[in-house]
Amino acid sequence: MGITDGNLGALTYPYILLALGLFISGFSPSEHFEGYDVPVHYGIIVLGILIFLYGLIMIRIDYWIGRKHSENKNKLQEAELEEYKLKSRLVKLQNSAKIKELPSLTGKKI
Amino acid sequence: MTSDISERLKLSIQAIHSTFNRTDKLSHITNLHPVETTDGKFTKVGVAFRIERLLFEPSEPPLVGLEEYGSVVANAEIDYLLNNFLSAKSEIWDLSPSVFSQSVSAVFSHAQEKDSVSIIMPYEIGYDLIDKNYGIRWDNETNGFVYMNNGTKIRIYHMRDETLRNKFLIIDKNAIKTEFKKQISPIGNGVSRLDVEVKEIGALQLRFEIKTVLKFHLQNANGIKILEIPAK
Repeated sequence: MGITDGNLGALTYPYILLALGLFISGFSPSEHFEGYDVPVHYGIIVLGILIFLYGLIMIRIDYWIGRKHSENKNKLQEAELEEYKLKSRLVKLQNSAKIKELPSLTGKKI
Repeated sequence: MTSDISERLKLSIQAIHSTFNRTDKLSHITNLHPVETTDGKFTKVGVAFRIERLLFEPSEPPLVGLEEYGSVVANAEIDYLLNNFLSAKSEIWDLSPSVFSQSVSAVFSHAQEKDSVSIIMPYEIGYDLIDKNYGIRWDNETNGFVYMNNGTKIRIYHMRDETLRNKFLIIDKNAIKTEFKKQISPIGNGVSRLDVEVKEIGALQLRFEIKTVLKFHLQNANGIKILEIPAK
């Protein structure tokens, strides 16, 4: 599980760490990159930023999915609560002993 | 009935009808046919009770709770329907989304109208399915939960767990024909299934009989599929 009810959140944390690692290593002393014809450290920094952005987007999507799930779950709970409220009002009325239920009509043929 | 309580009584009867209409599921799940007379094979579904007449006196505070009997009868209809049809052959289901999808498609392939299929599922398991990848979501248009099957919305009705006993019902509306005795409604267009009958019992009590009178006919066995989750 992620930070929300979505399932993507936990998957994004390694990406964020990887991105930070790459970003920091991109600023390592330039002798680490000697022998390369291209400015590798710039590439590593850009890659770090891209992976970091990817992680942020995933967290955002996870949050959105999680919020949707929570909303849906709440709707169902509300419907159940409404049924419960109605029933409790009836039980209160029945408990006042001013109403007495007779044997159920269900099943009688007509 | 004396006029001093008749206004209160009328409002209560209207409230019962209104709750029944609001919580009615049978009209969405089966095909309804009104009849004028019954043949001895129709079944009463409902409740009867005695209530103190005093509660309807204008001097008393408004009566709260009686309208719930509309919902009690609407649910009793579904209980009765399920008692009739849940004993049919069911398939053991391991909760896999693909089996769910295949079962819905199987009922769908026999349905005459594509919007006539419904799913009835227990509340408790319903919570779990929302969190998983079953394609179940809240729909603002129908104000209820839906399952999307190839672009078509299938309405989902949640029922009490004790009624469904871990069973999921996928049903085409045209698979079951419900004949019901036509009643006059005090609200709406004047036709209803619900009958609220009030009789005076002596000077102190009233007898309420709140019921519908129904008969079910299975018209297409392929239009119903039952999935069962084995008890743990």
